[in-house]
Amino acid sequence: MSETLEIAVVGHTNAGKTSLLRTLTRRGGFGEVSERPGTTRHVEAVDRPFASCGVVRFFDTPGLEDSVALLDYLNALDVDGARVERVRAFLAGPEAHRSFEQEAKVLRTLLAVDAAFYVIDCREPVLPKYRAEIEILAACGKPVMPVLNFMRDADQRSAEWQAALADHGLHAQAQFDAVAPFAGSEQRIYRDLTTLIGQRRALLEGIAAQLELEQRERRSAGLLEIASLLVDASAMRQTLARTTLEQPTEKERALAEFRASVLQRARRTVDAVLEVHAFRRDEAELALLPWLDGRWEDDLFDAEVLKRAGRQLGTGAAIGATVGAAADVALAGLSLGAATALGAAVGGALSQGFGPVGRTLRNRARGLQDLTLENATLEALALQMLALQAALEGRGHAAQHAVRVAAPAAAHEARTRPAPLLRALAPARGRPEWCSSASGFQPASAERERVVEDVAGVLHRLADGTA
Amino acid sequence: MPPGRPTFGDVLLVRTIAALETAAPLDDGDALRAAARATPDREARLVERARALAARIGLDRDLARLRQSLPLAAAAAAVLVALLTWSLLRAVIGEGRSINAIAAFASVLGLHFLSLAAWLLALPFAAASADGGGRWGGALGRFALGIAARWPALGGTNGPALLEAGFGLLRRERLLPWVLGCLSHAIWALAFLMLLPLLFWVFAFSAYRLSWETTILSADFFVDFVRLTGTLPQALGLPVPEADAVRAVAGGAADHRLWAWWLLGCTFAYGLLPRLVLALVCWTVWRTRSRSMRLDLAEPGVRRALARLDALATIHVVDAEHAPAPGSLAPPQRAAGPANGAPMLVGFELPERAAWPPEGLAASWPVVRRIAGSASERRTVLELLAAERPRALLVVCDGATSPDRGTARFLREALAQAGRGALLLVAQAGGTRGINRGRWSAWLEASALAAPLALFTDAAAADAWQRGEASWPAKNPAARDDERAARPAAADPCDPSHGSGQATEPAAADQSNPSHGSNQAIKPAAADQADPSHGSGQATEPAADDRADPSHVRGQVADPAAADRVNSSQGSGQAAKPPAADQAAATDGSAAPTRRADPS
Repeated sequence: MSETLEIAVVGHTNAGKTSLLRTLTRRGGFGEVSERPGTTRHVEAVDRPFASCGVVRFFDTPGLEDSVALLDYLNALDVDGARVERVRAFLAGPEAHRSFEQEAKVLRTLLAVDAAFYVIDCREPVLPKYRAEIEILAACGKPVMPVLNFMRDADQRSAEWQAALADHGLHAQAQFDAVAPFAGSEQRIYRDLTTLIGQRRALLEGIAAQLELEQRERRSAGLLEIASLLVDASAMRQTLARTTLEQPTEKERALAEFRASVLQRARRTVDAVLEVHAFRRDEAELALLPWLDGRWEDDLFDAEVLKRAGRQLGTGAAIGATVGAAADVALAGLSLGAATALGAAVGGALSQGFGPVGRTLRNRARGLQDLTLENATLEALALQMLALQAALEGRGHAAQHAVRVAAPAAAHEARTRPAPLLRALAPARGRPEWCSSASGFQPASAERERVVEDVAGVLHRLADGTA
Repeated sequence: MPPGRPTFGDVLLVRTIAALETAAPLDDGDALRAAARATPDREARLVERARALAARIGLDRDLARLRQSLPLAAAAAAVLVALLTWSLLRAVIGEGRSINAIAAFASVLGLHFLSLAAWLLALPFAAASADGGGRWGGALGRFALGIAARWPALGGTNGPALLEAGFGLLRRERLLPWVLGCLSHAIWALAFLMLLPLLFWVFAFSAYRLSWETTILSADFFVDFVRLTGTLPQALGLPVPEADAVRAVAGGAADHRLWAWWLLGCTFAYGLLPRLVLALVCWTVWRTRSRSMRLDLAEPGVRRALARLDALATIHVVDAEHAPAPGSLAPPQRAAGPANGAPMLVGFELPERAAWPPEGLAASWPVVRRIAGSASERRTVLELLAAERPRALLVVCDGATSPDRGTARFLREALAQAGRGALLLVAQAGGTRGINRGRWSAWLEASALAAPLALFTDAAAADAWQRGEASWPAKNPAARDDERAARPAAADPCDPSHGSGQATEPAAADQSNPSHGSNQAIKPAAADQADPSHGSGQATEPAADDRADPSHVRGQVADPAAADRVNSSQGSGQAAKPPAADQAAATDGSAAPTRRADPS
């Protein structure tokens, strides 16, 4: 059950040890990532539990800064036997608490753990100090997995590093970019470790499987959140007297109110998706500022953006940027522009019973009209949320720059036709009571849940298609 | 069954809490910490958290109340059963003392057979359908929700949320057909269980005539029917009318006792028995599966709680920092003896692609070395330095990398042998990373190297710094070194951030270019140091015409008190236009101050 694998993360100063750990533990708040060299001076331990497989305990170590002198010192020690004996003699000696205190911490940790990740900034040339580092690490006699960080940099010299590492007998190596990890690179690191510590194969395989599972779970959870938002946004409707819509100022106010409520609901989902991916809320606030300061509103409701995105605008655009006043003759209370799919409308009516039609007729008799969200806006919302989710999936927890998800580009849009999405959302159109944004928790019906699951399924396919 | 699996009640609590948290999370700090303390398992932690939160918001009380109201539901079911039994009995006995046996068979078992067939047919569909039989429970669920919403005593304020989550969970777990099946089978079984003694009582103490009647069917049909239906009761040891007995009914001479037993046997074997067995099967399925459930970790609410739990894992310091406090490092000690050898240029740990020597530096440096940084290379260069004792040493490093203690060690050892030292940061042509000057200057400061080392990012400025040495005072350097050694390290208050030095030193004011700020090392403590933080900034500025006057410098040299202040008074002003005369002078170790040619 609680089998523990201890891994030390070692490397030169500023090579990205703490960044790697942030990404591996999925904790943006771990340690202190900064430009200052030698930020980490303590050895810090943090646990990463893997459900029932076990626990990986990581040790964040200070940088190996003075490796050339230390190697010189180690070689000069008058000790016979294995190389590791020299390291032990050094650790027992006085210099371990004087000039090489920082290095001593690293080596002491290394001697106590099961394996080490040796983080390499592969933009650096392979200087003698790095060779000295590798030699010292090798002298400790522990399995060392080199992790080539900054692989995405144009200046990376991974070939030189690979040659140098092979020269010291380190043939297995993982490639990683802590800020923007490659898809699946986390799993691969653990799988690759099995080549070094074969006796822990079961645990490592379990961890890799667990990572994949967690990734799938995060994705499903995020898509369910997004689907719930889309269902709410489709269901959202505001009933107004027709006379209100005839007065420009009143109409403007009503439209602004409606947009505000859509955005408020969308923000809740943004927060939720961030939380699902374990990005901190305060970090999120910072990262998503462009979304929240009104520019996003422009993106979402800007008729031009939607036009550019190749979406056909319904007549709703005429009365105000894609919040459509539902023409109440539309079957089953579907929004304007929903003439897109008659089949969907019929299907929606069948699955909804006659409630919506009844309401539509009632509203008509009373001179009321409904405001709903245009299809084009729904699509834009869906694509933006998918883009956010994709950005978060490919984001390391060491990243310090903001996520900015722009309005969907036209080319992108053309490739991913969200028509099935609208079909899946159609049943929600006539169910204003499904919208959960109004006030707190409202018991959702089984039908709503089913529609949310359908929409999530469509989103799954869309996300896979764009990936 | 693993002991740690959450039960139906646990999962129900987790899901209800998640549903209640849709709008905004509950304040769960205490609950999270308690859960993290309780168990290392993630599922168990989520359950612990839900339990703690449920206790706080009264959800567990509501759940208990909901469970207590189950007897009410049982009572309602009992009434239902009684009605069912009564109607069944009425259907069998009918009016009068004559019973049509075949019609009685159909009315006792017909409805039961139909509903049983419906359930059996629907079961595979419900188990396979995407919503786990949601349509089935839909009506019942809505009914229960409606009752709970209108009747708060049933489940308290959270009753609707609990029921909602409960039905959702049953649907998701595909348990709904089994739970509903268990209910309906139990009701039917109870009905048959009550019917059978009643029928027995009626047949035991009243005389009924059981017969069959037909207009178009033959007698053989009834013989076959009775033989077929009688198979199971016969196997159970109950008497069944033989073929002759069946035919005898038509003649009016029937054994009514056998017919009554046949009816009782069929009701037992085809009514009670299957319902009992199926109720038991459903109950077993529900029992085993509800005791060992899985939390759906892909559920958004659950996932978010999990992220909060993961963020709680403690980080503990294993090997604490014992680094020296900032400022406690002593600046490098100068080696004894005069350092007046030719200026030396050393490239340290430069990438092999870097241009060497850096552009614009080739001409004015007579001794040029480049090392990658191995121990032997370091030794060679340090030995050379010790032998040459250059009056100026310029170390060139890659400005894009992180400085480290290995670099600091080399700089310290090298500086000990040189008269003055400077560090030039270069960037790789076409590289993606630029010079990170802030990082290096902060590091120099922290390593107590900021004072003795001038920092440049511009080769021309560094070159000018070296040529500025032309105004080097012809004073015994050893004396300076002694003076430095006598000063405590902490009393070395070189303030690099601004050029306030001039203001407090009237003697130096006229020799400094105001625009050059603190490039002149003026304070006595800073002896022969150029300010590291302003070096390159000024280097790009054109030479100003109030540049230090060499003759004035000479005057300063004559004054022993001020001798130390003037070493680099030329600053980097000349950078823009290096006079050719300098190069000749630079190679001349004992260059007289007068050799400075004024470019203007």
